[in-house]
Amino acid sequence: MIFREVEDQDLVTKARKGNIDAFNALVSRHEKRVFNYLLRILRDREDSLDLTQDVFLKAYQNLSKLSDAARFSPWLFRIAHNEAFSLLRKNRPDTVEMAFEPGTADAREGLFPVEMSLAVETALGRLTPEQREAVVLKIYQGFKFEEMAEILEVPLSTIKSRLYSALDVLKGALAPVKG
Amino acid sequence: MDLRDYALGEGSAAERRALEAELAQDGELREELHRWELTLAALRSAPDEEIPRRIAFVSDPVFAPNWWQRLFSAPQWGFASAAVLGGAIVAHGWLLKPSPAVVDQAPVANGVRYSEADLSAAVESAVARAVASVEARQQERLRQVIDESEKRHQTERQMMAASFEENLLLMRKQINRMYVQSANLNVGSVQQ
Repeated sequence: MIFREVEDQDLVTKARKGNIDAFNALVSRHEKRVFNYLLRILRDREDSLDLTQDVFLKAYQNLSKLSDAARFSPWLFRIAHNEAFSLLRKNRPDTVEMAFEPGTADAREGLFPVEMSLAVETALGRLTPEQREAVVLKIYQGFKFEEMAEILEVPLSTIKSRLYSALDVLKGALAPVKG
Repeated sequence: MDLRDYALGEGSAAERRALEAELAQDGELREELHRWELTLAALRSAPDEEIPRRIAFVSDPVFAPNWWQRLFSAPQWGFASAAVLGGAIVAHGWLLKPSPAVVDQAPVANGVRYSEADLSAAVESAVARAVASVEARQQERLRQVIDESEKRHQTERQMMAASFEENLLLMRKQINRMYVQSANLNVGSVQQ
């Protein structure tokens, strides 16, 4: 992870000097992460793809504003967060959460992988965008709490509050009490 | 330490050891931890999707500059600005070229003010005197060269004349000797 950050820093430094190949390498390295982050928040493949494109375009245009080249990844996800929530605010009237009927723990344990994926997707759909984002950043992107606070520009306590409340909902959906 | 933090792998080693000690003694706590671990395992079972199509790179047209960016970054602007700079340098040099001095006041020497005509006449006079002096010196030098040449020529003529007279005298002596010898031969043949 440390080696990866050093590499990112080196690529950002080169990209700032006009090395397009260096920025292309950053795109190749982060495009899948950014796309999946947006997909899990927006839950729309085309929107996620378009926004991924916009995220990297904005990153390229504003690369000189990145104060610490070693913090490229949180900075990139900050841009992705802004793009995602800008679109969510625009589409909020049309946002309809999917209905979800929780099953039993035994039922969850007996699911096939595809069914499990659908169950997870449905459970994530029950969260608010902010809760979902906290889960995505922590569980899927592996950011530390401090990095999440930097990306979302909110206090550490807010981050933990959002994540714990989201996990409570998810636990009820994915690992309900046997009975 | 919160069970969720423990399940997420957070917390220091000491905090985790303390919770593990509690878990060893509390079955209900272990059941709760198991549910958290199931939840996280279920979440992590949903894999990342492959990106449907490649994101356009900065070298692709989507990142290409706008027409006005291309206009202002085109190389011809570099040549144009160089040409303008060159023109400015030439114009600057032309405008600052020293113009002929306009004498609005005649110079003053020894308290006497001279007009331009006076100065011109004085200059011409000085030039004429200098030319005359140079010509006189050249004439004197030419005369000296001619005199030296004439003297040298006269000396050479005198030397040639002396040499001629000497040669002529020598020839007369030889002729006389021949006459004497011839006379002696004639006398001898008569006596015999």
